[in-house]
Amino acid sequence: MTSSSQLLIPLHVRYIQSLGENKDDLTYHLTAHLRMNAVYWGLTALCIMDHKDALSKDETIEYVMSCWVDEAGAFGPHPDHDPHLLPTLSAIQILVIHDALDRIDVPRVTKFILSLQQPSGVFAGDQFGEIDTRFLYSAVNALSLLDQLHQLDVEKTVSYIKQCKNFDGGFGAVIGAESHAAQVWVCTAALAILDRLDVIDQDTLAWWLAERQLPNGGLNGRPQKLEDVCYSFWVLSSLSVLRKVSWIDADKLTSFILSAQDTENGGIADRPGDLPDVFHTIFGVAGLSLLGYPGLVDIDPVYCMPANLIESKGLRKGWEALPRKAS
Amino acid sequence: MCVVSALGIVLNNEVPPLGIEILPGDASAWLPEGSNERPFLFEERNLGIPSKVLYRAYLEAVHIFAEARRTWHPISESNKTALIHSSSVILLANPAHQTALNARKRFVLSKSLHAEVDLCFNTALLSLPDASKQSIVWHHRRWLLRRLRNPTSPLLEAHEDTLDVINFSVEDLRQEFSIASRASEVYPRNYFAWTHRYLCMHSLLSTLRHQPSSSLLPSHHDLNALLMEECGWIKTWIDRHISDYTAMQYACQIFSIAAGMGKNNLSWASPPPDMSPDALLDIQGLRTHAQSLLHTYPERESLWMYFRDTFQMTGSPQERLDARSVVWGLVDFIRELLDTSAADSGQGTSALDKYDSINLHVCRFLAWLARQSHAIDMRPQNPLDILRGRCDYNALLDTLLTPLPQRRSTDIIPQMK
Repeated sequence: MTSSSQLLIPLHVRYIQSLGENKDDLTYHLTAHLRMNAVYWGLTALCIMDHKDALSKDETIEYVMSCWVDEAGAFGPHPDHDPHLLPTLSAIQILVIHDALDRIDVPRVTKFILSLQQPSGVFAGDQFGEIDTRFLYSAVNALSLLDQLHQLDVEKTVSYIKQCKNFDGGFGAVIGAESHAAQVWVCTAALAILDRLDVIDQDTLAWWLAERQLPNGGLNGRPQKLEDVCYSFWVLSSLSVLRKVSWIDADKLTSFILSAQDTENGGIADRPGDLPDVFHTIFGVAGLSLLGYPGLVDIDPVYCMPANLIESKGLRKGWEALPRKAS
Repeated sequence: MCVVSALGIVLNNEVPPLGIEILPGDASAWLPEGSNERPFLFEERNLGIPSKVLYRAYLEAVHIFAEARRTWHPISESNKTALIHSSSVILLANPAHQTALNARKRFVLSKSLHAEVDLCFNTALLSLPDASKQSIVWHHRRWLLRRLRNPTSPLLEAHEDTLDVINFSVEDLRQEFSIASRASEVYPRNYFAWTHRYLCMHSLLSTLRHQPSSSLLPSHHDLNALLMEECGWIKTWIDRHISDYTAMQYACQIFSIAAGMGKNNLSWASPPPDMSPDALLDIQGLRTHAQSLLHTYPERESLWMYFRDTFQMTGSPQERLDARSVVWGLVDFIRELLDTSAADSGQGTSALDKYDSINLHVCRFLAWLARQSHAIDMRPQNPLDILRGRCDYNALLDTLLTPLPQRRSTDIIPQMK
């Protein structure tokens, strides 16, 4: 009955609301390790669809605070899970969206974040030392939202990103790793926040990003891989920062994202026919927002948060999405 | 004994599984009746667990793990065992469970879990497709290797996940390569398996560059031989996995570093040596390899990107690409590709797709080549045209081939269709 040639907002809102309910024990426990991220993805998707209040603000904040690990001065993904930079960023983002940053012990969280920077400039995710440019971005984003960016050694941070630049102009997870659209985004966005886009070979990178579009309209994350809805965000947001979103065939990508919707139960999948999840839902909706899809709220491609919120905090950087269509 | 304990004993001992497989269905499909306490197969060191058994055990393990952590201080022996067993079962079903992995690190640090036992569990875990694509499982492996192979290194904590602090034996390196290869087979384009392989190679090269010859260390001769073996191996791998661009960019990375011109030279105590003629030959060999594969599979994006990368490996940025000399070498090849694909295009839908694909990649390649050249001012009207494969090839080839002194610097490439 419902067509997938338009974004089924009410259905997706209900899908996100239903994620909070225990569908079955197994699903809940198989995803506990990324619950904080999932709450941030769901909330941001609701904001972009202009349904921010579809989830209870108080319950969300209560959940966030239940994940605080006092010994570390950071957040875990779920109560009784270890603290880590990724859920700490998501916690900060959720609290910023709900204007509840006063719940955070800013000096302690700042200390936790800064303690994770390595001599080369990259960040570890936690005390056990896994390094990745994702964590570098998380640190830069978090410090920026906490208004503590002045405490960061910017030159050291930027120097690591420089060393991750590959033959093709892209960036990987660590020095020597293959260029990957998600890692390109974290490096590009981190450089945007630090006002160091000069590090990027902008033309070379823009071409690499635009070449991610496949004949079916979808975007992949690396050469010769399958299209996946989440790259609608990673690739498009990077291109927004480089002001080259027009290099993507917008109509074809829009059709691809819409075709990946679950038209019965809501949510968006990685590609048509697969099961939806909240990760692909936010990035599909965010991609559509950057493409100017009518009826959506602007998303800031650097922070992956509502654009007006980022602007109100004085954090907006130079980027350009497609203009919002009227209908 | 509950299933979690039964599995935990198998997974955490000195004769652990070599490989693990999750079998479809329930125990009844695989095991005789009465196997309730050990509803899994463990034969010739291969563990097979029916998926329904695993997910029931997972739920049990999650509760055991949470309960045991609540009574952490002080921790009893039975709680330690419960945590070690339950964490291993949790990771089988959910290898992204960072907290379970961290618990094991804590037990290794307190010596309640032998690092060698945990390394064996990690090896077995990496035989599972889901586990083999988790960055944390690979990081955990390197964390263990640093502790086992170089426990006194001052860099142990500030290590930045390098393996350069380890002087691997040839056998150890071969094992790491084998684990990375297996993971890249079970989960193609395995990003973290190839990163791990790269870090192992970096360690080998670091040993070759920095360590004086010593009877305590692997001989330089043997390590050099392994390096040459790997350079040959990677080309064979690429021949068998022509969509594996991750392998191709790995090849370019290690050939670059081996040739002494790697850009990622953080670990070198002194600047890399000048490139030898032999090394140049190796890089030319890589380009020839890429081009020969393109002859057979011109529709593969991965091979075009591989081909591009081989041009980026030589010379200084200024010398890197004289588009004219490159295109002279390629023009017959490209014209032949375009003619062949045009001839094939009348032979049905898949041939048409292949024709479109070849046109797309040739168009993008020529545009890329023009961008790399400093001699050509190329401003296509709309990048989308190139990205869609709409390109006047002959005009573009002719312009790329035009001798430089005869062209005015203000000449602009003819408009592309």
